[in-house]
Amino acid sequence: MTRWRKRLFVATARITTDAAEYFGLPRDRTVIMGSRITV
Amino acid sequence: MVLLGGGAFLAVEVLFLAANVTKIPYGAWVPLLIAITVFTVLTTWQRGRALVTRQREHDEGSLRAFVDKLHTRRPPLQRVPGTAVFLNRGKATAPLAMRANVEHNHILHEHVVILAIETSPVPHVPPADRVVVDDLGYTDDGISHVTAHFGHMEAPTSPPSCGWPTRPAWKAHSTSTTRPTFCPPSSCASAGSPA
Repeated sequence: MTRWRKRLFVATARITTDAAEYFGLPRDRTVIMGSRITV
Repeated sequence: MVLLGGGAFLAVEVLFLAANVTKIPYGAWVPLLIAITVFTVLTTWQRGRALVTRQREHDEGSLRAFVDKLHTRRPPLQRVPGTAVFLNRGKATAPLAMRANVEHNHILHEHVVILAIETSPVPHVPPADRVVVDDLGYTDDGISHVTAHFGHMEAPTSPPSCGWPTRPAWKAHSTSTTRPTFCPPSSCASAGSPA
């Protein structure tokens, strides 16, 4: 993807719903791990 | 036949388009601009997701191979008490969070459940078909893969009343006090917890 499309994707990815919230997971027992993935 | 039909429609559509092109400078550019913006955002999102998914699947590697490697590991990996649930997309790959636990923390929980949520093309999935358990080739290692099926009219949350597992293998784990659920920051397609 071109640079501006990458930036647009990163911007939209930032406002996505949190998976833990979506699936109604118990907050105090949920560990969220991020990983770096190059686009 | 298809070409002929398509050509007939195209001829009419081109006429309509030609008749309306003159309106563009007088304000018709506004809906066009909105449409192009929305289209760009949506296609960029779709393309980006596809790229991320492909790269992530590459990084994750095969789940079977990962479990096999755990068994041949010397010295054996330390197992800590409790149950960990890792959310994952499908059954083919090993969740990155599980990999990180093994590679960086050098531990794995006594009971490990890799959970994938699949949305079936039916409104409701009967409770009997809700959960499919796979021991991934080893019955004694406490690592199993669980696929939970939900209909598109059902919320993929996890109240025990809607057909969550009552199998003995699961009940034995459910008394554990520590049960972290690992989940990727934003995976819209796979996740859930049997809590």
